[in-house]
Amino acid sequence: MGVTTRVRLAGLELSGVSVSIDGRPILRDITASAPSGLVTGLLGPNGAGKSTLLRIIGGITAPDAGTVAIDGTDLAALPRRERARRIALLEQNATPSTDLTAREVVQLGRIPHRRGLLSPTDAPSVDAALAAAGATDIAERHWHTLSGGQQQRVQVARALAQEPGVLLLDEPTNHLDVHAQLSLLRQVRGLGVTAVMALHDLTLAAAHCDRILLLDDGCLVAAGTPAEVLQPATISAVYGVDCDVLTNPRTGHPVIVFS
Amino acid sequence: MRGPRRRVSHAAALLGTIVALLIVCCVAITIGPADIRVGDVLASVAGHLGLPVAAVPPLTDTIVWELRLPRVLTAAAVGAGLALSGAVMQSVTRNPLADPYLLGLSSGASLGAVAVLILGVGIMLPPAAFAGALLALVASLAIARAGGAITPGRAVLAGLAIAQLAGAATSFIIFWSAKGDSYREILNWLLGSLAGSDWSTVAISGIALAVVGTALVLAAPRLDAFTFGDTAAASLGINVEATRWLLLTGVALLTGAMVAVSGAIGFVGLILPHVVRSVTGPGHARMLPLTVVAGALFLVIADTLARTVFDPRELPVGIITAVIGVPVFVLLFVRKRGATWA
Repeated sequence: MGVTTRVRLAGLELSGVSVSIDGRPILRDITASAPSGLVTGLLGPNGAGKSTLLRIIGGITAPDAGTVAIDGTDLAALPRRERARRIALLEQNATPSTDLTAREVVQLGRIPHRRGLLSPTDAPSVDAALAAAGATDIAERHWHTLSGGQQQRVQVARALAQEPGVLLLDEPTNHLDVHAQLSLLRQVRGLGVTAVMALHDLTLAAAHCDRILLLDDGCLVAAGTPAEVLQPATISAVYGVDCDVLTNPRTGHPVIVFS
Repeated sequence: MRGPRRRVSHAAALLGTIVALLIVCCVAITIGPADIRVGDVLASVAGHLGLPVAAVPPLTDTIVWELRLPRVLTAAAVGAGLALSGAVMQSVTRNPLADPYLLGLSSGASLGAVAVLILGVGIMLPPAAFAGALLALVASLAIARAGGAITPGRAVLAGLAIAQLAGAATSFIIFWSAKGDSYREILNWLLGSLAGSDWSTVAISGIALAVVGTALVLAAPRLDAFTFGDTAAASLGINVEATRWLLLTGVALLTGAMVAVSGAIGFVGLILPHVVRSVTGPGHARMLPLTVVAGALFLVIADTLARTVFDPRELPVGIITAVIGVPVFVLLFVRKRGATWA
């Protein structure tokens, strides 16, 4: 993606993050980092706490204990709007309540930057975000006429319009076909932003993430490069499945096959 | 890009609707049994504002200044307030079928009003209706909150419960104690009517619109943030809980004031936002101002029809808004099938 948006690279540090919801512990004492400019994959079985961790990093859920720091600044100390200018979140399966055009969806990303009703500086940021996400040609289309892959690209553009230092993505490849999955992940990587991305597909994660955090039942069980984390014994212990890890002959990335 | 061009045309649409509203108000005042011309209307208003104009005959002046002008102004303020309340309610609850009465406000107001009309409780009708609406709001929000955070779905269900309860209480009072002509008076009020308008109703509805309405219009960017739901709004830097409380309370105050002067006029708050949205698109900064003016225009026209179609008998304006509103509603529904309306 040759077009640059104004992205301030930022790294994340989580220390001792714990949270319970309705008395049930969801995350226990998570200490981890997401280095600046890299794509960090968040893996784990259903219910491991991936989405909750993303919500905590995004400042939507407050942790019971522990801190999240963005470039050394405690997230809890930041005003909401300032936080929204630094961290953008792509939810799973987001649908709008009204029939917006793609451009109008991307304009929502400018809300944290707005002062008063009129903000004349928005248009260049919106255009740049659309271009960076490869969505310029569908900018005037209505949301409900877009394919799943196009909708995700528009969501990426919306997040980029926030001009965040960190991009959070909650299972962005859900419901997408293989081509759309690959193009979305390549695109996220091509943006050069700090990204934390919850994923289900281990092989996709191995190919498109620089670092992996593996969660199981609210605990961080492994962290490191894909090759370090995605070992047959680790996967077997966390997911309860038997697998082998091969090497992709063309890319050299780990490929996980189940038996 | 279409951005700038569209903004000009939106400004033009808003300006055009405002001009239409002013013209329709003047014309509406001339319509009725007495022979009044637009010139008389302007002269009477100018005279009361202290401008040096030729005096209008006293009878004409009384009809314009004491009867028809307050009625038209009340209709305009109530229409504007209801349309705005409906638009905000639809956005806050992310429900295209939401209207200003969603939290049981109209039923609460009706209970208060009927209690005054029948039981002869020694207070004026508008304060009683307003108190009923606020009581319904507080009860709805308390129920919605009882099990945790207020979500749109819980608010709707709680409002439904309160509306049913207040409705039953209203029916009971009518069944138990209404006699003779009081049925007609009650029905008139329940269906919504502007027949009781005077300068005090202008003051109540006008002040509510100026204060609460302005605040709601200024909240427009926050409403945009709710388009993709609560989590998306929070990730855009919005304090979701506090914003929802404030907006719901604002809508309730505005609607309560409108119901207090006119009864529960239906369909304005449900239909107008959809019609305006189809012209401006869903962005609230453009949509809300036009909704305010269009709501005023619509209700002035509907009320003028209500008092003239079966002249000398007058219909409750709620019947007119329903007769116009239902076909428009069905049309929008059919056109939008498969898009946003699940």
